[in-house]
Amino acid sequence: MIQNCEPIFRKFIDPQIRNTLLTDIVGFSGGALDSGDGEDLPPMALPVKSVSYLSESLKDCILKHLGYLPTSASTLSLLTVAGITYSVASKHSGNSCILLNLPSKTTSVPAQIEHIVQFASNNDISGVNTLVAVRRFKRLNNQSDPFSIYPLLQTQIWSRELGALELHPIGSIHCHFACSTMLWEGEQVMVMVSLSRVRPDFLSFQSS
Amino acid sequence: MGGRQLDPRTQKSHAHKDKARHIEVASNAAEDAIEDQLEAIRLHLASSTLADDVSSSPLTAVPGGRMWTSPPQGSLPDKISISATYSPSRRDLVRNLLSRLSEIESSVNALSHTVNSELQHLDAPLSVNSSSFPLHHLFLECHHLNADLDKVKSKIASVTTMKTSIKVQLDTISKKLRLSKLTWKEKREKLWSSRRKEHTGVKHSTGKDRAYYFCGVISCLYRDIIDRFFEPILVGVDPIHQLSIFLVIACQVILGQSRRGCLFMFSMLQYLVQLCLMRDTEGLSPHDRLLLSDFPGDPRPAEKALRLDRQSIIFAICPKDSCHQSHKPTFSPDSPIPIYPKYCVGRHFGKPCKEELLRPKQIQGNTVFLPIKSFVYFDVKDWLGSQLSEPGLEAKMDAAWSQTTKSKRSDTMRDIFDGEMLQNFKGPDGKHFGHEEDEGRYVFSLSIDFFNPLSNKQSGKKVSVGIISLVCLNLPPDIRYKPEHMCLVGIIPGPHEPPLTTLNHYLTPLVDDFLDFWHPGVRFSRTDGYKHGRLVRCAIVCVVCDLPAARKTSGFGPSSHSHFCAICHCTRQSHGYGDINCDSWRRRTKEECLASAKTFNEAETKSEQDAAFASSGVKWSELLRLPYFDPTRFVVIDAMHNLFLGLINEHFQNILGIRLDKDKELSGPAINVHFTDQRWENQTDLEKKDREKLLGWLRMPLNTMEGQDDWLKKFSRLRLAVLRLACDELGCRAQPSDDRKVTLCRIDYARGLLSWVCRLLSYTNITLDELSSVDLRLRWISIQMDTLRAPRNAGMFLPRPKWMGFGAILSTRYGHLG
Amino acid sequence: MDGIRGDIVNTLRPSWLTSVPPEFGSASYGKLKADQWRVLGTTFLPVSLVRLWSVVEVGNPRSERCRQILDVTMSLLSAVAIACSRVTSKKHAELYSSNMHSYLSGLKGLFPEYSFRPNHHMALHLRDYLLLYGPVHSWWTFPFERLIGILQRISTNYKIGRFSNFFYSSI
Repeated sequence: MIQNCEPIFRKFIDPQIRNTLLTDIVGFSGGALDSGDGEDLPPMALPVKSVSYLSESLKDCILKHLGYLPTSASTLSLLTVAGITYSVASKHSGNSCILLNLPSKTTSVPAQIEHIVQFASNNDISGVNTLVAVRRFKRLNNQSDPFSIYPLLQTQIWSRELGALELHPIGSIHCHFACSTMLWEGEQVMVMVSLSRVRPDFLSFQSS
Repeated sequence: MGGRQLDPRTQKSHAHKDKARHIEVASNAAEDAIEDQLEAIRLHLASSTLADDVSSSPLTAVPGGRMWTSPPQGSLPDKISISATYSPSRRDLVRNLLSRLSEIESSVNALSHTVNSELQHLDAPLSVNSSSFPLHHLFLECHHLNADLDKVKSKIASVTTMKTSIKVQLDTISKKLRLSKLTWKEKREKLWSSRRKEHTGVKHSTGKDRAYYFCGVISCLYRDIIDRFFEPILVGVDPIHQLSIFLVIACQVILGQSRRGCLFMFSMLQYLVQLCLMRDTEGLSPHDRLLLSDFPGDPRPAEKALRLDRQSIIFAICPKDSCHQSHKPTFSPDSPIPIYPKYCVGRHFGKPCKEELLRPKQIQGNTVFLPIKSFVYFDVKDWLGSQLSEPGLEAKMDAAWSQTTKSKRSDTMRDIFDGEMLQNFKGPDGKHFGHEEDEGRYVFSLSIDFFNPLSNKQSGKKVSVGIISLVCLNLPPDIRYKPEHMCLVGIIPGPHEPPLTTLNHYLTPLVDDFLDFWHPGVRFSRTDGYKHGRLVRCAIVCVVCDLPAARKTSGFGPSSHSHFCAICHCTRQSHGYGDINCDSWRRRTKEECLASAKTFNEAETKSEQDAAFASSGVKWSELLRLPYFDPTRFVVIDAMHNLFLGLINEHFQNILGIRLDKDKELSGPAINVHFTDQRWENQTDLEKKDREKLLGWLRMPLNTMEGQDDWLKKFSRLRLAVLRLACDELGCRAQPSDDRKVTLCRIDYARGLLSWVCRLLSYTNITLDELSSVDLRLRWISIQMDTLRAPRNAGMFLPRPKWMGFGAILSTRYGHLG
Repeated sequence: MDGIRGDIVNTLRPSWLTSVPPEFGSASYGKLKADQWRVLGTTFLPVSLVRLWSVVEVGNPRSERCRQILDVTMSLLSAVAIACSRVTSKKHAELYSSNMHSYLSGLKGLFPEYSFRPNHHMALHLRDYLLLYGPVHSWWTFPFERLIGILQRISTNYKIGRFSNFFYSSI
C-alpha cells in the first residue's frame, strides 16, 4: 500500500536544483545527454499544433535542416538535460547561453537558444525529435584576446552580434556559459566564461 | 392502626426493593466493568498470541494490540453499548440480538469453510525465506469475529446460548489454525537447520573455516538485526491505518512537524475517515467501528512500527576536560536501562581519573542513573546492513570495483576509483581489495567537523558540537552524497571541541567496528543480492576534514606547530610556510609516524610526552590501530577550505585589499606603516617601546583635523632618536618653528611627522566619514620602505584618487610608485 | 570595487550558478561562503580584473605593476580552475603544480614582505592528492558541510538518523 505512494512521496522530497553544489552532485552521472530526459521537468509544451504558426525564419530553418516541413510540431520554452535546464532567450537569458559542440571542430562555440522545437520523428514512429534553434555569436575580426594567455580559465571574447538561425540536435549542447560585456580596443565585446565542469576542455580532447 | 403496622413492613419491603434495585444497578455496572476488563484482557491475549515470530514482529500491529494508545476522547459510538442503538422493548431487544448473532454465525460458518479449504491446500514452507505464515489473514478474521461477538452483551438465556455455540465454533477454528501453524513452523525449522549444515560444510572444505566460524558467531548476533530489514512492516494493518501512519510520520520527519501536530493530524484523519464511512449509511458496520476505534493516535508507536530509528549506543563520557574517556553501557537481561560504571576508569600517566560519570534522574518513581555527558554512537554495521538491504544498491556498490580491473588504464580520472590509491589498495590477504567477488568489499571516507548547533545569532554563547560521518565510496557519485546514503556515526557533545588527543575516545567504537570489518569481516545473514548471507569487509581509505579537524583526527599537531606539515618534514624554522622547493622536501613515512605515535603514547610523564611531540609533531590517533591506515596519505587536504576559503580569500582580502570582514573594519583610514630599517635593531628597549607606540598611532585613524595639538604633544613626548629615525624612514622633514634653528628638538620632528600624516590624508581628498561609507580599508597602502625612500619629493604622495571604480583604488594603492 | 560589482550584476548566468551577492565587499554583508568564492574566483573576477588591468600603459610603472599582479592572480585562478575539474589526469596535476608554483613565486617577487600562510604550503601538496584520489569532487568537504547545514536546521534533540532509511524500509 505504501509503495503505491512512491511517486507522490518522491515529488515531496525531491530537492530542486538550486545551486552549483546540487547541480554538481546531480550532474555527476550526466555524461550522456539523453533526449528522453525532456520529461525531467514538465517542459510546458504547447499543445502540438500545425507548423503554420511558427515564425518564417524557424520554418525555413527546419526545411533546410530536415529537407521537409513536418505537419505539426510543438515548441518548448525550456528543456532539461541531465539535470540542467536550458531555456529560450525570451524566457531566461542566462539559461539560454550555451556552448555548442560542432561536429567539424574540436572546440565549442557560444550560441543563444532562440527556440526549442519538438516533432514526431520520421525514423522512429514512437520517437520524438527535439531540436534547438540557435544563433551563434560571431567571431571578432583580428582582435587580440586578452584572455588567450590564460587558457585554463576558458574565457574568450567574441562579438556581440548573432548569426543566422541554425538547428542543432540537443546532443550537441555542451554546457552553459556566463556572458558579460566589456569595452576592448574601442569595441563592446562579449566575454564568454565557460561553465564546463571539465577543465580544460582542450586537454580532454587531446588525450582521447 | 393496621396501616401503621404495615408501615414498618412496607417500609421494610420498600427498603428491600430499593436495596434490590440498588444491588441490581450496582451489579449491572459491575458486570459491565468486568466485561470491559475481560474484553481488554481478551484483546491483549489475542495480540500476544498472534504476535510471534511467524506472524509478524512483536512491534507490528494487530488491530487492538499494544501498538495503539487508547483512542482520543470524544471517540466513536462503538464504545457505547450496542444495546443503546436498539429499541428499549425487551422482545425487540432479544430479536435484534438474535439476528445479530445469526449474522455472526453465518460469517463464522463461511470462515470455517475457508479455513478448511485453505488448510488442505497449505504447502510446506518451500524456502528458508518464508518468514510469515501464509494463513495469517485468517487469524485476523477470527479475531475480528470474536470481537464482534463479544460486543453482544446480554444475560438473556437464548442469546447467551447462541453466543456460546458460536464461540465454540470460533474456538475450534482458531485451534485448527494454531495447530497448522505449529506444524508449518516445525517444517521450516527443519529446512533452516538442514541448510545451515550444508553451508558450513562447504566452507570448511575451502579452508576458510576459521574465518567463517568467527563470522558465524557474529552472524548470530546480527541475524536479528539484519532480518529486521527484510521483515515487512505494518503487516496485517488496515490500509487506511497504514496510509495515515505514513502520512503523519512523513510530515514529522521531513517537514519537522512536532508531536502535537502529529496528534492533531491523527485526530483529523480519524474524523475524516469516519465521515467518509458514514456518508452512505447511517450506522457503521462492526468492522468500520473497529477500524475507527483502533485508529492510531500517537506518533511514537507509529514511528516504532515503521522502524525508522537505527540502533545506537549511548556512551558515558568523562566530563573532565582533559579526560573524555568513553564508557560503554551494559544491560541486564530484559531491561532497557543502561548500566554504566559510576566513576571514570581513565588513567593518565598511571593516575586514575575517578571522575563521577552519572547523575540520578527520576523516571516514573524510579531513580535511574544517566550519564552527565553522553556520546551517541550509531552502529555502523546496522547502517551498512540497511544499505545492503535496499533493492539494487548492493549491486551498484559491487560494480564500482570494475573501474579498477579495466585492462585499458586510461590516463584520465573521473572518479576516486581511478586514483592511484584505490587502484592499488590491498586487502588483508595481500591481493587487491576489490577483486573478491564472493565477499562484499566496500571503502569509506570519514569526516569529522564541528559546528554551532545554536544559530549564530545567539549572542555570546558559542557551543561546538561535532559530527562524525561516513560516506560509502562504492556508491555511484550521484547518490553517494545524498543524506539518506550518508552514515551519521556519532555526535560529539559540546560545549567545546575535545582538546588534543581526547578526540580519540570518540573514535574508539568506530575503529572497533572497522577492525571487525577488516579482519575477520562481518557476515550479514541476508542482503539484497545474497539471500543466505554474505561476508563483508570494509576499510576507511580517506579522511576528509578541514585542516584543524584533520590534524586532530590523524594525530598531528596544529599548523602553528614547528613541524607544521603532516605530509613532509618541513619546519617553520628552516623552511617556513612559503618555501616552494618541493623537490627538497623529505616526505614522512607510515613507519616513522607509527613509531613516533607509539613513543608519544608510551611516555610515562607529561614532560616526556611533550618532548616526544615537540620533536616529531606526531601524537597518538585511534585510527592508527587500523593496520592499513597510512596517516601521511589517507588524510587528504580539503580543496574547498584550502583553495576557496584559504587561498582565494586570502589573496583578495589581504593582497588585493578588498576587505570583506565586517568585524575587522575600522571606521576610518588606516595606514600600514612598516619600519624595516636596520638601525632600529640597535635601539634600547625604551626606544623600541616608543617605536611601537608611534607605529600604533600612525596606523590608527588619526583625527588630525580636530586634535592636532593633542597629537603634537603626544608625538613630542617620544624619544628624540625615535622621532628622528621615523622621519628619516618616512621621508619627511622636521619642521622647526624657526628655519634658522640648528639643533632640532623633539617638537620639530613631531611637527614634521604630523604634517606628513595630514598631507597623506589631504591628498586623498576625502574625509573620514566618506571613507567609512565607502567601506574600504587601505591596508595595503603598505608603505614599503625601500620604495618610499627613493623619490623624496611631492610626487611620492598619493595622487588625488577617485574612489569610485576599482581601478581608482589601485591608483591610490600604488600611487606611491608613480 | 564598483567595477566588479557592476560586472557581477550585468553578467548573464544560468539559474543554477550560486549567486554572489552584488553587495559583496560592503560592510552590510558578512563573509562569503566557499562556493561563492569559487564562483567569484572562476567566473566573475577574471573578467573584471582583465578588463581593468591587462592593458599596460608603456612607461607607467603603476600600470606595469598592476599587470604583474594580474598575472599572479590569474595563475592562482588557473590553478584553482584546473584543480576543480571534474576530470583529472597526470597532466592536470602537473599544470596545477606549475601554476601554483608561479603564483607563489610571483607573490614572493612582488611582495617580499608578505608572510605566507600554512595553506600556501599545503596547496603545493594538493597535487599529490589529485593523483592519489582523482577529481576533487570525491574528496572535498562540500557534502559534509551540506550535511551539517541540514542538521543545523533541525531541532537539536539528537534523534537524527531516521530519515536515512525512511522510505526504503517499507518493502
